[in-house]
Amino acid sequence: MELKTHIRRPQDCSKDIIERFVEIVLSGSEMNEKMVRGSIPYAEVILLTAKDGQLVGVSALKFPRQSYLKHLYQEAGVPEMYNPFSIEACWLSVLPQHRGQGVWQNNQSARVEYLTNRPYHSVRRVNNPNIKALSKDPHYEQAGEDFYSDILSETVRLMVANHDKEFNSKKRFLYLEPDAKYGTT
Amino acid sequence: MKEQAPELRSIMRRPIDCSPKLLNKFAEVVLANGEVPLANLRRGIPSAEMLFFTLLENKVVAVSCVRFQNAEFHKHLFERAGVPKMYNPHSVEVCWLSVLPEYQGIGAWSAIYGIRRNYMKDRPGHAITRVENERVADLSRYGYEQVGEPFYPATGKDLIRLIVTNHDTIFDPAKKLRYC
Repeated sequence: MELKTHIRRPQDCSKDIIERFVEIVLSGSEMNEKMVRGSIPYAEVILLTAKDGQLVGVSALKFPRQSYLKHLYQEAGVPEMYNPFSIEACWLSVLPQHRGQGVWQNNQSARVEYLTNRPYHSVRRVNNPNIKALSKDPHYEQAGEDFYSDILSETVRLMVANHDKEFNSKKRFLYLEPDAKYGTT
Repeated sequence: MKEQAPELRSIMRRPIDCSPKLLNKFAEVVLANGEVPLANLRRGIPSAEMLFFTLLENKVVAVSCVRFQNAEFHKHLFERAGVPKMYNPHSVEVCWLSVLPEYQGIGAWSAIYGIRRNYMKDRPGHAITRVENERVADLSRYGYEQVGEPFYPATGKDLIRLIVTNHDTIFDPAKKLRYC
């Protein structure tokens, strides 16, 4: 069995790939189809995991609205951690018949490699039956406390990676080699 | 009493953070210079990484954008220019720079360049300019250099030149965006 995750910008995907992406997202969650379709063009990239050449798992990285992002950190009780450079890892979904075969990990590894040290976050529903397993993901730590979001109408957990405890406004994205020496600019 | 010149200020927004009104204004300013098909603009705006606006007394007078274009077309540009090894998938296209005709010559171009440069830092970027547009024949003072030779792209009839900033002569796949 060969697993491989491809990272594509939405504008580089064929209609067929986008359709399959939507189908897989909707198979594993309670996402609203219209919302998913409408949001895809705003994604920085989508991550497509294929098993033996067949697309079986997906996720995406996109910048949410800043007002929504601020809301998450405020409601979690850690407004100082709000970081406008933090991208949201979302729409992670694996087709039910392919779960437990490493698809998720493969997709996640590709994401970690792509993002290098960039800050990112994810919002998890607390009543998701997999919440315990999801919360053990070594790349993430919980930010603040679980909270009920009026926007999402759910009790959720905010998970973050590569985040400073307090947003450092001097940090930016720079284009560097892995071992480059740098300071804040 | 000396009259004070109105002040230009620039802002940047991701498309998702813009109101429909602001997005329409962005398109309107780009179209004012008439070189971009409306359909391309409507399709492309949501996938822009960042939109830049220069305002004069709260009126949008200039705009610009950085975005990742279709990867195939991006590669095509570097191939047609004769510098395929410079193709860099991390390079954003700087595009849709437009200043409303009645506000040209008041510093709006420089204002929008300033905010965009501050956002981009050392990230690689590229742009295409029409050879017949003499106003953009030499953008070296803005940190751009022409690469390769002017060419006709597969999708257009204009002779264009490819200009780049912060590009290595040969793409280095070890380099990536890092947060620091």
